[in-house]
Amino acid sequence: MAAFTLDARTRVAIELALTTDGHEPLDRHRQEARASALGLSGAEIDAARRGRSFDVQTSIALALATANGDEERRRHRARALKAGIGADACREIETFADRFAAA
Amino acid sequence: MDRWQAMRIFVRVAETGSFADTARQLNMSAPAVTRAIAALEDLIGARLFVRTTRSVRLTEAGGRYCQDCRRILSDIAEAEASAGGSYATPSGTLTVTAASLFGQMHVVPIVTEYLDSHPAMSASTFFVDRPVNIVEEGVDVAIRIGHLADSGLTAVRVGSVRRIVCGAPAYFEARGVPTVPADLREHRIAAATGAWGSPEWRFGRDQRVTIHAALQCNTNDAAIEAAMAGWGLTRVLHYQIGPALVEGRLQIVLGDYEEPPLPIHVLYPEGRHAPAKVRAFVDLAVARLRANRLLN
Repeated sequence: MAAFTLDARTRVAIELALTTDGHEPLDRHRQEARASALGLSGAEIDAARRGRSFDVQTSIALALATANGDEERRRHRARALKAGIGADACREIETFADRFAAA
Repeated sequence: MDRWQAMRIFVRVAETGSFADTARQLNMSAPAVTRAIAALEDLIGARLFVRTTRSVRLTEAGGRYCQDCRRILSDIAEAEASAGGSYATPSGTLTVTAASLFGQMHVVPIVTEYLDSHPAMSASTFFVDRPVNIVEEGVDVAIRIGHLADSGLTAVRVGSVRRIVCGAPAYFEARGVPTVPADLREHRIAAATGAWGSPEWRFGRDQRVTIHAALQCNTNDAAIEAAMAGWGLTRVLHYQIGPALVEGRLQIVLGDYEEPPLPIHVLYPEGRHAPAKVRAFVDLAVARLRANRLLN
């Protein structure tokens, strides 16, 4: 089994999912350009902004990254483990999401 | 009767398969149609049709001659259109070809928008899952998916498509997520055995997996339906399931192992000398397809 890794595409998808409407339009535009350069299509960028992905594992990673509260995190962590996203990758996703949200 | 008029009658008989129907359509008498064909056969020195009491069909020589006549008649129409000013204003009939499902989903809306903008135009779509010879088959514009062979055609890149493996969320919940191509051997597969069908699925990094498709479908639609019902996984070009991806009814797996995306091009002959009807359509198609966020 290949290990799921928090690669650049997944990171940018998480950023898109966590970026709220309050962000500067220029920041959002830059973020979109970066996602596009990493190979995300416009439709994938739109999906990420809604907290979803076309890819199964990335979608579960986004759900974990955007989960509210411990209970929701536990539930999505269990789904992630079942879908082949390892415990280390789950921690990395949660840490990345926490840091991005706090920034 | 002049030669090109005889050709026109000949092509119409080939299309209708009937002397009587041709006569009605061209507002002629049936004997006049018969005489025109006979005169053409005498001139060429070959039989063009096999006639029975119930049908008329082309001979082998007639089939080849019919293709040539279509091209010549198209050239004449184009010369007349050019002299009549249609290089400035779109007029006549535009023929567009594309792959079946791509045509239905992404080309029809462009064609109808084009017709709304150019009321003097009519259009004919030719959506098939086989290579079409644009010049020989009288096509004005082709939207083609895949790497292009060298040709004298003008090509404008408008997007790309991915060849993806997908399934329904319910399927992944029940049977798990394949994380490497070899995992597919443990999954239920609904394979389309049409244009892209093969028992061997190729992935990037030169990986190949011989799959056992418990369900083989002769259309992509059928394989997609089976996947959407949560029965198994299938492999398609991603545009074919665009709405299902957006709505989350289907999801992609093994994205890291995909082959590089296939380009989409708008192709047309004659480059900047193309008639106005072609240039106007190409401009619209390029703008609309490039703005399509699923393809770009």
